[in-house]
Amino acid sequence: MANGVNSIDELAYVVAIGFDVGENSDLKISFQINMPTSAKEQSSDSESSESSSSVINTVECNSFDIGVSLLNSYLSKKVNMTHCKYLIFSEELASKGIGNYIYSLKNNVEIRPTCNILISKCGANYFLENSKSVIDEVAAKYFSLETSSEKNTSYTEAVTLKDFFCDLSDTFGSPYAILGSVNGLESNNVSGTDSSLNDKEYTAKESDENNQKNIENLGLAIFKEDKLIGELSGLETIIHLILSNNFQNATVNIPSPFNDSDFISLYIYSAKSKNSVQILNGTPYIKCNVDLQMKLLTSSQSANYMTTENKKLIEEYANSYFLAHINNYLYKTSKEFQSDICKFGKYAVKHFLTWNSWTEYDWLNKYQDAFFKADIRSNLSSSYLIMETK
Amino acid sequence: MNSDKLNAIEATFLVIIVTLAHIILNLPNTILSSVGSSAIINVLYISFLIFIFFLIVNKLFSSFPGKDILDVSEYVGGKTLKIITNILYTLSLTFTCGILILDFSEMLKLIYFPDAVVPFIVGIFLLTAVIVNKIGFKNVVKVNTLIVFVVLIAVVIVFAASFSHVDFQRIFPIMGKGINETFFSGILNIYAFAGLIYLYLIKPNLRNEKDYKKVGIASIILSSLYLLLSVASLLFLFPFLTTGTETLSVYMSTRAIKLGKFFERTDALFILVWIFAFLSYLSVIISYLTKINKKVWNAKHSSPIIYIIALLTLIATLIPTNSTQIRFIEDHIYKYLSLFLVFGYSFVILLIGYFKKNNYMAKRRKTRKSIIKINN
Amino acid sequence: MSFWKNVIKSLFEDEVDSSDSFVLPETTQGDENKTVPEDLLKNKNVYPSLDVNLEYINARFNSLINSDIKIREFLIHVRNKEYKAFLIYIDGMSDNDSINEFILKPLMLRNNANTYQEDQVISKAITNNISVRKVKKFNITDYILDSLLPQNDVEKVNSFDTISDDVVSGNCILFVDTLDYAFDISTKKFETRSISEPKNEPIIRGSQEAFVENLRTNTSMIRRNLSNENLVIENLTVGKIDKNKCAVCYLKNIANNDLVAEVKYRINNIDVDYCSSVGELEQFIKDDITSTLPEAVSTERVDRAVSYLLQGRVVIVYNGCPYVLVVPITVFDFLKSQEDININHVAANLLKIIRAISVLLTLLLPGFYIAITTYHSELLPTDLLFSIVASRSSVPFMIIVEILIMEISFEIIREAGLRVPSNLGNTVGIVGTLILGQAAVEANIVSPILVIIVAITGITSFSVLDFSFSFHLRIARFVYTILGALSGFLGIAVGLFIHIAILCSLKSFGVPYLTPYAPINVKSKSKYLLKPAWKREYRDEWLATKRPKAQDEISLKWRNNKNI
Repeated sequence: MANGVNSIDELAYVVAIGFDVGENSDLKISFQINMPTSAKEQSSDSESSESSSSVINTVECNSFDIGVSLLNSYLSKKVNMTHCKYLIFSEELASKGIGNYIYSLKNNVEIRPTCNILISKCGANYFLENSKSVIDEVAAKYFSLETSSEKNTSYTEAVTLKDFFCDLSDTFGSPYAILGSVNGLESNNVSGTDSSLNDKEYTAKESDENNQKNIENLGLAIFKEDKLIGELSGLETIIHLILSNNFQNATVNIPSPFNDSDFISLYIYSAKSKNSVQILNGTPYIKCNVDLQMKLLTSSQSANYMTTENKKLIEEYANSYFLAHINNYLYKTSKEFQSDICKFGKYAVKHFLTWNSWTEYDWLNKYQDAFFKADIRSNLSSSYLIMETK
Repeated sequence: MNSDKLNAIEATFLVIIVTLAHIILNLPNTILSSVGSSAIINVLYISFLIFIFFLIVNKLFSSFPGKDILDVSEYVGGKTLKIITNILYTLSLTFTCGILILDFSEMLKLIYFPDAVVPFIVGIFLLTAVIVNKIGFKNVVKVNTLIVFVVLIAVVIVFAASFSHVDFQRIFPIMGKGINETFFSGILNIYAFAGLIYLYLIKPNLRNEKDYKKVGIASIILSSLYLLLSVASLLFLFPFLTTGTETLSVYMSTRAIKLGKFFERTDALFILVWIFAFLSYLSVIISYLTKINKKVWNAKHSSPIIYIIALLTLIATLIPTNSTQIRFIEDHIYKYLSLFLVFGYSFVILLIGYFKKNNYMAKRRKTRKSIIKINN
Repeated sequence: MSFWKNVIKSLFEDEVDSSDSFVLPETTQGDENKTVPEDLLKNKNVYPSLDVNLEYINARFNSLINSDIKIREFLIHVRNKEYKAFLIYIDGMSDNDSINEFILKPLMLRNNANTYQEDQVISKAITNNISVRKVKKFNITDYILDSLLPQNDVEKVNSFDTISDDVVSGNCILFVDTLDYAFDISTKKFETRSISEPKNEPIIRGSQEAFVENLRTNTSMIRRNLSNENLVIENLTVGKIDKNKCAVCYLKNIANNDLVAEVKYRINNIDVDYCSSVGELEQFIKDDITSTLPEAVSTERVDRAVSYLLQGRVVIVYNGCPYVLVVPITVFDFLKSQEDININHVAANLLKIIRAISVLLTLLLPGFYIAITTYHSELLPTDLLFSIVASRSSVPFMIIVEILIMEISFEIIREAGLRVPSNLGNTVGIVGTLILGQAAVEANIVSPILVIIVAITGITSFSVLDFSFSFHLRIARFVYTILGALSGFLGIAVGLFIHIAILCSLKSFGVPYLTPYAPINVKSKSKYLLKPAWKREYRDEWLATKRPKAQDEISLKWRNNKNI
């Protein structure tokens, strides 16, 4: 029984896999393999501050499993993917379609369904080589914590292989993935930045000019069937999370109603959206009633934001601000992307009695004809430590 | 205090281990692919039907206190029918048991033992079951009682742990693949309760015969509940199950469990629990078949019968040569075999026996009345 | 040839039908109060007739079967007249010298006191040459009390209840024919604190007395701690050449008669030349002779033995051994300590849970470690896995070899620690720790994580209270380690399944080993976790005692009275 089994000493653990378009083959796969060093080696090497290092091996192949097999031939240890945290697909490869790769990965016993899927704006290999933790953590821990940072910002969503695979084969909606890159870089692999963007409209790679290269996951990559067709910015991702009821918390800037050049920062800690779909003459009519709970982050000299009139004014501004962005998001996904990433289909399906009638309706294609009505109700519950200034 | 008879809890757990073993493998998946998103309605529907069925069986059995289906078949058709019934039960149970064990062994090979030979893994299961059976029937029952507790808790944990990922909208469309598939052709899904075949055999072994109805109802309720939980967790977690087939469906839901950073891939722990379940299932099947064969053939010792049953099970595992055949056997042959044996053949024998006995009793009463009249 | 015959026979034949083996009946038998004939029960006071008193005493104290209840019949000489009399006392609790010198001698042998015949004159008058003397009427009771018993503490008693209480506490009672009083003479003498502390079962709160080698001292300690006339201590002999004494102790009004009879039957039917210790005796009287699991609890604590007696079990005391056996038992008795009764039930239950976890850890931890690292490494959190891999990077051995090296070394050091003289004990411990721990890791023979695993396994094995049971766990641990190395969780599951089946098949004097969980008894009142002290109303029902209820429904009557 133990013949074909390797203990942990004989395994090389892959923590991230990157997929690029190959130069000579269909695929170029990069494996980031963690090489744990013992404590003795670590103490003798004063430069090293990590308890383990990692190496990146790249192979060109026509399919994922052949790539793994090729890698096994290079390494003394057998490749093991049970601790893989990240699957990174380059933008170029994603545009061609990644459905087959996803099915192969899902069929693999070792790969966890809970590992994250990321579409990289730069190449996947470049992404792996240049991603490094700012605060010195082990690579595997860094990867897993990086995706959990979305809980604090809501600029992206931690999409897993299971989620992507389910969405790919789902009739209720379309798949999407994390949009990521390595920020602050100049390279032939990437397109130019747009410096006139509002900071909340950043997507990955575009946020700042610092020289330290680290992973920046901002926004979502939108798919129609298995091909990449567009992306959402950070703010659009927040809207997406609100509408799909996956929102945790976020900080948003709205223009100040008291001064055109100022902004007011709001911390949204709760957002619920009641969605309903009606089929009118075969066309979906989607209604969204959004309820936001916010706290005020901004405070300034002589600003009394929490008086009744000011509070109401801020709420009205917030309502119109979010309404504009929600409508923008909805029409973008419907008309531009024609991809129902919010899964409004699950609200539409209750109008159908049987599976056949639902599949005949073909929701994913009907979504582009949908029209929307959104209603926002925001409530500014309180400020933090300063309630009023004089 | 120390008798060979079973109390109500032991008997109930003995009956439901068979259903649990099927649930762990592909039963929820098969139901989902046959009826689609109306699987929950279908499960509730067939649970209600099986409940009515059991009440009828209980009524029919009430004419035969302390007897099982073999005794009833002897009453109906003499020793020949008893032997035929015994052979039918033995062959079908060893066959289905062998196929299930083979399926589970294939799964273990796939996940943990890529270079192992499947009959070797099957052999480990059989050897363990034989050793435990040699220790004694009552000990098999005691171990099974302990293990079923653990398995029941594990099923609940699977459902609870994946609760955060469920999407209740997946219950729509409410009629799934159609009303016909849900209520008419879907009635064949009643084979999911084929594990209740033990209710035909268990009556003589009960400590208190009045427990029989309690055991039956409790087994049906528990089996329905767990079938419902498994089907629901799959339906609400995975959409593709309604459109495609998936192997090892319950295993798939354990792979999706992630609780914080520490409990990330806990499927190995669930597999440990399922190994217990299958060991218990196999031991229970072998022990019961040994018991009934010992009775039918008036054997002095059980050990040779245990070896023969184990050998028959091993032979059954050698019949399919790939997983497609295993799937076919499970989805079709096992289905129709169970329907025939549990809801067809055994029920008909019981019905004939019941009417025969009632006619006989009616005739006796008539004769007695006429004798009394003559005497008067 | 006969060997192969036996192998084939055992393969194809069923084992001996267990229906003949001993089982405890479901119902209790006998009236707990049937110690004294009913007609005598009516009168609670001493009879004038010595024969009737003797009959009563024989019945009440079961003196015909009780080996340490002594009745000495003799004749008292008073004024050259003889009166029949008898003494009752307990051998081992009374001072024999005192009885001989100050009771028997003055009463039996002729001396000035008991031969004096003259009357005591109260007053004398002489009238007409006729002297009239008023003499005190001779009263034998007063005479014996005042003149013949040179003891410092003598009382007249006429209640049998008082007599009974005083006999079991070590006094000696004198009955004299024609007297409806008895003489209660204080002659207590028994072993006290030269008895040592229990070395292997220490507890924080509780008695610090342990059994010794002398049988009579041990029985006297049990008597002292269990003051009830229904405590029966029957002497039996084991061995044809050695003829060593062993005592079977039980409470006659609680213990099941069939259980007691079965215990005596098994001990009386051991056909050996000698039986050197109680451990060997346990192996002779076990139900299942092939299993490595013990089927009796052996304890050196007096309070623990007494507590088992009060539950309705039987205690076997063996001469020459400071441990006693308690039967019947279940596997959960090996996880109980006397400490549990002495502390609050919440704390006791916490300790019991910790002990249960310790048993699982000591049995399964190495097996699980090797199974996970070889077959199921995805189960470990990534950080922990990399830390283990890093720590193992320079170790040249396979994990299974590493574990076996460590485990065997640990067993060697444990055995050496037991055998070495106490002066060197500390040195061996330090050397063992150094060798196993620091140096082995420094030399890259083993990894640090494995040292931790083996250390936890060793420490948890010490939390198992019973020595024999922990041996079984140590043996089973090796089996699980090998099974885990061979086939991961499949091997461990197979091993556990067979192990549980074997546990289910075992019995201790007719009681299934895993009672009340296998066979399951939902209505059982004895569960693993303890109830509060005031709610422990029932004795364990599987003991089938004559007195199932140990407490009233409302045992704290003082609280109830206050509330009323």
